Amino acid sequence: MFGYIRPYMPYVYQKDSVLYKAFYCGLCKSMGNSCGFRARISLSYDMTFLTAFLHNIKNVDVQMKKERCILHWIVPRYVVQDDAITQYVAAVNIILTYYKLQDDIEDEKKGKFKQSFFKKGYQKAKKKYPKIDEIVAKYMQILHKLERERCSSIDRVADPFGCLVAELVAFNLEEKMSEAVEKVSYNIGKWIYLIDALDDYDKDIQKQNYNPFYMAYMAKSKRELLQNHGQDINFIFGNIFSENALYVGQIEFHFNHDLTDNIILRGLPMQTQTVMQKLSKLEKKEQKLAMKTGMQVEK
Amino acid sequence: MNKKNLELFDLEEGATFEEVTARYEALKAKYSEERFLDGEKGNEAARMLHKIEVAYQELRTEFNEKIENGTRGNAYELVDQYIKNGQLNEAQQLLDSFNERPAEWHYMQSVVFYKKSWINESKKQLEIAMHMEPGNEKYRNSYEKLMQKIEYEHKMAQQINTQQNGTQYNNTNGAYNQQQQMGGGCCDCLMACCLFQMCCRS
Repeated sequence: MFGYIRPYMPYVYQKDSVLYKAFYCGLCKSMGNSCGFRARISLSYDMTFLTAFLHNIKNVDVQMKKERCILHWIVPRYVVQDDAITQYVAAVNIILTYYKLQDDIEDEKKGKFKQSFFKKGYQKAKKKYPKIDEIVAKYMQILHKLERERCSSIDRVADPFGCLVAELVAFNLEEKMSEAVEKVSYNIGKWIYLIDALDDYDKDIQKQNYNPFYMAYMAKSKRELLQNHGQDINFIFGNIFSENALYVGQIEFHFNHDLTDNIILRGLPMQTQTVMQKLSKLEKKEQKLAMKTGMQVEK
Repeated sequence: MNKKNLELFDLEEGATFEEVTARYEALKAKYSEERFLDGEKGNEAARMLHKIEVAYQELRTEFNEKIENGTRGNAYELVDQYIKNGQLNEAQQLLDSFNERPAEWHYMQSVVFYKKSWINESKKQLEIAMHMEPGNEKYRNSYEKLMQKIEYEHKMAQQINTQQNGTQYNNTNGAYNQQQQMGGGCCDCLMACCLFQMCCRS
């Protein structure tokens, strides 16, 4: 479900690129400190965006230092020093991962080992921020219920995840929360859910899992879905982007917001396109086969 | 309201349901006794008993419909009130509780969905409302407004995407520098280093 929120690299400034990577490393290290070493593997790009977003709105500056870690033990990298917001996001990350894996177990009846791998980190995070666990559990339950019912309304089934992100942001921002921030975070949550569903479309159909796009349009594959209902899908995503563009301008940022702007206004649409164009495993095989036969003919 | 039915009960237009019921019960008691009389009088009473029974049933359904319509009309206003106050959950609950779903219901549902930014669902509901009452101006206007707004926003979003590039270049010396960069001097330092290296290479 994670790792879709990324900046669109060609348009990222050098300064922001360094900052982004430092946030990423900082989050990883913070997770190691507060939730144990194993939790660090659950690190995702989505949460890196969230740290940058929250720091900026909350008017908390960060300190960067060059540090080494296991992966980068030769050349030290810039790392954002740990603070309350980073720790909060780290806890959100591990808790969300844990629930996601829980979801997988219930759906596919596998992945118990994976989940037990993160259990200790989850328990630590839960102990530290019981409220996060409460929020995530509440919305995941609603989402699960909708999926069980095989809900055919895309907006309805994407709603819990949007609310989940909005509430997690609201809980951290407290009095700094505004309507614009709520709308943007809601839309981002909704987008994460939908892009994940679109990405897993072929896989879900093969395994006969629930997929909101399948319930709404009943297309046999992603390619068919985009061919026949491309307009509807563009409409759904287009609305998310246009609302984001509208409300991002209204958010009161305290620092330079090139990085978050890039992610919200450019990263999301680009990622959507990438997912839409991505070939499924079967299509890749077919393509390879076609190439091979083509070469043989040439010989 | 059916006048003949009311005349049967010796009542005039505007009588309440309680009055009708009271009158009906009095008459029923009277004819129930009278129908055991001998001859024509008994037969007449039996016929009257049947008549008032039918009339009462008719009046009752009419009253019920009136009450239902009244509350439903008010309920839509209440939904509207909730929407204006931003209590979307309450509005949704109220809408869910309606059994009959005319065009107005779909319209209200569409507004609630719009406020929740469920644009796709909102569009669908509005289309249903328009389909049910093709002549209704309000629904048509809202639909056109919705489509215009969406188109406008799409355009704006695209403009931001394309303009952003330009403004960033224009403002390199102006507004952008006024806003502090996160992470403080490290970035600047690195930038300087980067520039230095680039100079060296060239």
